[in-house]
Parts: sequence; structure tokens; C-alpha cells
Amino acid sequence: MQDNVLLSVRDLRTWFELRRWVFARAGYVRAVDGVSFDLPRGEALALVGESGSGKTTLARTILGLYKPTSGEILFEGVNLGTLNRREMRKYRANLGYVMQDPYGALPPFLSLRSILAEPMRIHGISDRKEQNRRINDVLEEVKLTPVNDFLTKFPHMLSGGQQQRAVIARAMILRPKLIGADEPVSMLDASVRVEILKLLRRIQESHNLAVIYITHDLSTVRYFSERIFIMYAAKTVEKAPVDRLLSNHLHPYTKALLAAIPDPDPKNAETFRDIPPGEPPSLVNPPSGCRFHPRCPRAIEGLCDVKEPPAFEPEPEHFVECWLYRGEGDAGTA
Amino acid sequence: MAEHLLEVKDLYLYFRTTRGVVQAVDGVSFILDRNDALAVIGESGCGKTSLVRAILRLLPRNVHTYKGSILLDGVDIMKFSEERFRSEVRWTRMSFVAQAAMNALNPVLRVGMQMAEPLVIHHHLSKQESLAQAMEVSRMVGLPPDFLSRYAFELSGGMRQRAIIAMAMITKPDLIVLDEPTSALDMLTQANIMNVLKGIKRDLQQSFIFITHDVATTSELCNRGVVMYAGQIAEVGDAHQFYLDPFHPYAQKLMASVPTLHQDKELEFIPGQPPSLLDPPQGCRFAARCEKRFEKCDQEPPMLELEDGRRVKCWLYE
Repeated sequence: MQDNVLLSVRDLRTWFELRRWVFARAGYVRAVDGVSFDLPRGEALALVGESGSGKTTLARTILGLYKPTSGEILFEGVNLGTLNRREMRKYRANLGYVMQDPYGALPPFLSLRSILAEPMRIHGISDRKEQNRRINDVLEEVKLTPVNDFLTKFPHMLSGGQQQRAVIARAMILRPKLIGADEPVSMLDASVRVEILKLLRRIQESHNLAVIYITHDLSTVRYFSERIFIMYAAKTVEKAPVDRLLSNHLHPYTKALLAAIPDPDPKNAETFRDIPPGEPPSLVNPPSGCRFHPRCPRAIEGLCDVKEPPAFEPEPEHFVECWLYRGEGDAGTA
Repeated sequence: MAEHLLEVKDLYLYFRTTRGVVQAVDGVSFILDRNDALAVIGESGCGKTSLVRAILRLLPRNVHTYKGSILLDGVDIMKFSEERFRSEVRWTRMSFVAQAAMNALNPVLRVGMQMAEPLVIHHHLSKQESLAQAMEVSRMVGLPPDFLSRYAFELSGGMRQRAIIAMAMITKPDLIVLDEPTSALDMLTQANIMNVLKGIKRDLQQSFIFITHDVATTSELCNRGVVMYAGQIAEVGDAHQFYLDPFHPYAQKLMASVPTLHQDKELEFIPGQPPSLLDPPQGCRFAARCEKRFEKCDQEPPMLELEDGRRVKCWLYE
């Protein structure tokens, strides 16, 4: 394994048990079902998919908020499954989490200073001077300046964009190596969105951070990440570097997704879009074979509905879980 | 029939709050023709939703000022009594698809009955006739007929949104107002709903007002657009001017901040924040954030009518 790999995920599954009454098992919600990838240091990876596709569960499993049902997560070569609680707490200092709703993520009765000091207190950085230095640095970095004006403010005194900056500052305060950003801008206005995404990008580059950027908004992805994973029904159906995915998308689901997203253009009003019928499947009882086959315009009878497609690699670093590409390149597992 | 379907002139809507008077809609005028779809875009807090509430007279209790004129087919509906407005305008001639309305369906009523309800109430039709018409509109929005006998929780988000749109269409109103109709939906579902709306516009010559902060989605339906800023209209133009070549510096920045999937461009953002509507600045409201500001901007710019038909509230085009 290369040294540069920060995180490796191997055949990860996170299933949630469904119970009928208290004890009887009624089945599982297979929220993440067999995902594998390597994330190098300093790379921004975008997980794109519709709601219920498992992108948030995947990120939260990696961040140690859910326990995987099976599979491995290796962080700097250490298998998280082997860590005890204290080691797990130490591991979490490597991670930052930026969530969707900044106001909900900030405790309303704590000042910004207390909010930023809390993670340090938990992780044993109790020297006040060191705390102040770090708070100062991180607030300057997220441009909540002049710093002294903001230290005493409470979350409700900040605008939406400033709140999200505060959340980013808190995620950065322990100097993590990986940040999970779950729809970090979807609650913000268009004009502020770009500002926050540019800020995240700058922080990522200056600290050589790895970022897992979760979004349903494909159009922001090209500006803020190196690789895209398209998720559908708990699987990563297509994985590729951004440019390659946008110029040469292979999976029928990816094609449908890209065709559904408009750019602002008056011509859009004149044409109807070609959208596959139906809706994403239940994750309790996913369809046999390829999970997209009931909606797929190019499904091959007797193959797609029977056998689950492995990841094919029709061009370097471009993986697609689709039988259409079975002739092109060998099935890889990366 | 009057020349325009809807003509809003100098509409004001202020709210009284504990901190002062919020000038949510401050002198807004625009025109909507038949079979027009008008996009209203702007940041949150710019008064988009208040504008809709003012047009449909869905007002909260703390109204401070509510004045201006709204001509629907040449008749000033601002002069109507509350009772007359309710029975003759709201939902019969103008209907409304509210933000996340799909979550507001009654959980203990079958969906079909809810769709038919406006007919029973406003058109005094029998239950059977109303349900038959509900069947008809549900076909138009692509909702399978057997869904009418289901309850809301048995429907997916996209299907519920279709039911809401069907409900808004069932009285054959002149105007349907959509407030963020797709923002709670997934991408493919969103595209599907936009297809439905396009179909209604084409087949029934339906007129729409479409309010959202998602510029790209409005371009799927709208042939005209309004950009709002701090309670006022900054620019009005047809789709071509609006999406591709806006004039007002705010509209330009806003369009430049929209990420595009299919083409590469440098994204911009607008530093600073919109002014408080409790005490908006004297001159141009965008001046504090504007790169092109000059002395004149300290006075309020008039709404300028340009030769190509667009209207811009900016001194640069005087």
C-alpha cells in the first residue's frame, strides 16, 4: 500500500436492523452495501446520489458514528475495527465533520469561544494559551474577523454563512486529516454557497486535507473535488476523476442524472427531459442483479436482472458497476 | 379580457415586529401575460415569499402596511372584501403550491378526496363529479389513478408533489403560484416534476409564477424573470436577457454564482450580506455590495425601462 493513502475502505457494509416489536428481526436496511475505495491525503472526494442512496451513512460510518456491519476501514493503515473506545476517541481527533444545518449543529447557549474550546477540552488540550492561539488561528482562517468581536457571540447572532464558517472552524480546531462535509451548503443562499465552498477548498489545499464531500448537487462538484463517486441504492455505481466522469459518463444512472440537471439557459423551457421511470428501490429488499435494472433503458435480460455487476475498469481509474462494459477491461476491485 | 392577466402596481407589504417594521415588499410592480411563466429569484429574506403572500392575500396577523393594486384581468382584487377574495379569487382563479406542501397533505384523508375538495367547496360540485375531475387532472400530472384511493403516507415525495400540483390545477385557475415546488425533491424527481409543469404550460396555456432560489430550475419553465433584492425588484426581463445577459450588477453577480454542470466557468460570490429590511439604506439597496457603485447610488435609482423591453433599477443605465 502506498504511504499516500490516508483511508482505505474495503467491502464496507452498514446495515440497520429492522425490528418488529422488540425482539423479532424483520430484516435489514442495507444502507451501504459493499463499497471499497482508497482516499489519498489531500484529495477531495465527492459522494453524489439521491436521498436514501447511502451517501450519508457511508460518510458517517467512516467518521466512526455508525458501526460497520462488515468490511474494513483502515485509517493510516490501522483497522478501526480493532480499536477500543479510548483509541477510537483518539482516532476521532483526526476527523472533522461539517453538517448540513449549521444552526442545528451549534449549541445555542454557548459562545463561539466555548464552542471552539470544547473539542480541545475533550481531547486534553487544556492550556488556555494554546487554546486561544488555536481559536485565533482557526477563526482567521475561516474569515470570522476581527476575531475578538466573534468570540463572545452566540450562534443566533451570526448569519447563515457565518454559522457555517463557525462549524467549519470547529471541525478544523483539532487539526484533522479528514473532513466529512455533508451537504455543507444546501441550506445557504446561492451567493453565499460559492463563498463557503471556496473557503473549504482553500482550507483543504493549505492543510493537505482529505475531504469527503456529500451532495446531491452535481453542479457544484466539478469546482470542488478531484473524484466523484455516484451512489445508487447503497452502491457506488460509478467512480472516476471529475473531468472524466463529466466528459465520459458510462453508467446509465449517471447519464440520467447528468441529463436531469439543468444549467440556467432559456432553451431548457423548450425541451422535455428524458427521465427514467420509477423511483429508487427499497433498501430492505433491493432488486436482484443490478439495482438499477428495473429503471434502466439498456438492461440486458437474463444478465442485469440476475447477476450483480462487479466494478469494471473501461479506462484507467474509471470504475463502473455495469454489465454493458463487461468486455472492456477486467473487473477490478479498487 | 384585459390586456394582461396580472398587473401588480406599487405593491407594499410591511410587517410589524418587536424590533420595528419590516419592509418585506417595497413598491413592487410587474406584469404577467397569459401563458407566461415568470421566475422570481433572489436570496432568502429578499421578499419573494412575502410577495406571493401579498398577491394571494395569505397574510399573517402582524401586517403593518398592505397597499397597492393587483389587477387580475383588469379588475383590482385589492378592493375585494376578504369573503369575496376567498370565494372568487383564491384557489378558483389563483392557486398556490407552497414550499414543502407535499408534507402538508392530510394524513387521514385519501389523496383523491383532498384533490377534489376545492371543487366541492368552490364550485359546489358533488363528490362523484369532483372525484372524476380529480382523476382527470391526476392523469395530466402522471399520477396513476389507483393512487387516488391511497393515503399520503403511502406515496413517495414525488408522487405527493404531483398530487399537490393536481390539487392546484383542479379548479382550472388562471394562475398557479409555485413557491419552491421542487427544492425538497431529488434530482430525477425534480426533473420529472418540471416535465409535468412544462406539459401543463404547453397543453393548457397555463400561467405560472415560480419562486425559488434555484435559478437553473426556473429556466426549465420560465420565459420571463424577476430578480428581487431587499424587498424591491432589481431587474425584469425575458428569459434570454434574464439568464444569459442580465444588466443589474446584483443580477449579474447572482447569475455568476450559479454553478454549471455542463460548462466550465469561474464562480463568483457576493461579499457581504443583504441589508436589514427593518431599516434599509436610503439610496440603492445594493450599493454597499456593488463593485460599480458611484456617487449617484446614494439616491434611490428609478425603475428604468430600456429599449429592449427590460426594466432595471440601476443608475448605470440612465
